[in-house]
Amino acid sequence: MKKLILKQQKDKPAIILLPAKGKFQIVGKCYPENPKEFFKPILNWFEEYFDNDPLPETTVEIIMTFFNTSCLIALRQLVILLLEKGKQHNVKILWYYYPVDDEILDEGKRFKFLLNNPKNFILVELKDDKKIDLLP
Amino acid sequence: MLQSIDTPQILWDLLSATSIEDMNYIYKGQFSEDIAHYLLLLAERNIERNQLKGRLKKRVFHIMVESVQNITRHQDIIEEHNEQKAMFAIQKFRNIYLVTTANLVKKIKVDYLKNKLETINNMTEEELNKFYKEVLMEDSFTNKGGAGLGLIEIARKSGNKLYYDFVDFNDEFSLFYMHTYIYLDENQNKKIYLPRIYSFDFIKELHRTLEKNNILLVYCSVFDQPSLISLISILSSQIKGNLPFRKKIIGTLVEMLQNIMHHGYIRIQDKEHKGALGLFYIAYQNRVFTLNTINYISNDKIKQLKSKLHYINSLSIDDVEKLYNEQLMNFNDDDSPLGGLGFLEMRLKSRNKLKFEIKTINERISYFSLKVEFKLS
Repeated sequence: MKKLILKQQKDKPAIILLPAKGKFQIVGKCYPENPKEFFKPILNWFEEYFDNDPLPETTVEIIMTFFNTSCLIALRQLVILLLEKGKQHNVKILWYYYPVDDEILDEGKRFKFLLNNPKNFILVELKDDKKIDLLP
Repeated sequence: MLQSIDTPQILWDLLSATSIEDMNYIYKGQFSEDIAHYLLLLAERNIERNQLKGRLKKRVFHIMVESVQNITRHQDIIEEHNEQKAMFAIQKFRNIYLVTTANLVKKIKVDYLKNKLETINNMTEEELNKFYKEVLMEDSFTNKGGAGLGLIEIARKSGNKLYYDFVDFNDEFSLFYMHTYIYLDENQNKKIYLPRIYSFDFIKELHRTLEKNNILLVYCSVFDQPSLISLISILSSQIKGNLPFRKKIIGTLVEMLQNIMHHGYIRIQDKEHKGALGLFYIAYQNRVFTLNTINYISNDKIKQLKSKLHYINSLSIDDVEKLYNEQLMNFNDDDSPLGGLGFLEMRLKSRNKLKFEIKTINERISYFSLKVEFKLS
């Protein structure tokens, strides 16, 4: 499976989908002009990945510090897709948050609640880093 | 019933006289290096959209840089007052860029400055170039930091006079206004008629309105993704409060500005980005941040918009939360004319009702003004 790497931008997160290293990450801020368009290749990539010999365990790390509502809707689609694939494959979704950043924690809790508390959707506290810029 | 929103009349005047190719951008407050950077980025974005080429773009940009630096240089001396008073305004009308600055100066310097400005204004292009070299040499010897050099540069690059005014501020300080413009078409007849919003007097009046209402920034132009990114970067550092509070405001800001970008009626045709004409301002008074956007909407959208907003305002926060969750799980059409989860998010984040106003322009279009308030606890 080919990797998918997208560089982080001011309004777009970094996308690191590197099965050779067992690394699946979305990192940064997300409020692009068209989130649906931005997420489309990511959703397609995961579809193809699970269709073609995925790793025995796939851990997707979502390390977001800011997003708008249309990005949240796109993220919902991604999480639903991953949970769906998790019925046949070993999939874990880690939703990271900084302890100072209630918003991201709350959105994680919201997802967990709305998706009927899936065991493989896990909230993970990051070490507080004063240097990280949590505003867009 | 409409929630009344008291957007200052001068801002309505500003928007109604701004066409989609033009720009009005007024920033008042603290001038740090970072902020100067993003102010210039925002202006640069407009210059790019207008496809300004090499040399002209450089000239316009140079004037803006010198003007901002003129403010930051003075700021060090009297930081305390200047924080609230200093202003940088950039406007574009057809092929004219206009730059206006305001900052406090010590009264004892007023005569010196007047003198300098008069000297510069009375010089021919040739004399200015000579004077520039002289001052440059002088400065490198005396190491005075070249406050005068900036003024000469602005005059040289603009090719026009530096209009100025000094207004009493207190016993010690005066407010120093400076205004100049640059024609992008060097061959054009310079007696072009400028609408009122581009006059020196209008900008001074606007500055007083900004003062009175504690408005930090006014942006009236096309809202597209690049201008949104610059605006957000400028404001991120300006908003007080703890992180969750600031994130709520910035989050709401993104929703409001993208609403204009996606749904505004008067739109640009740009291959790369969507964009629409509107006005945005942010004010901070009595521990309340106010975000206000105004854009054009088609009259056939009004009924639906009004009923959606009235409905959201009629719900308790708990019910808004429920509706938000429902919509989040079911929402599939991001081309919805109502902007998806945006309004719900604004209501949830601000914990306040969304104030709005619709003003009819003609049988086809109206203004839609939306105001969201945040109380700093």
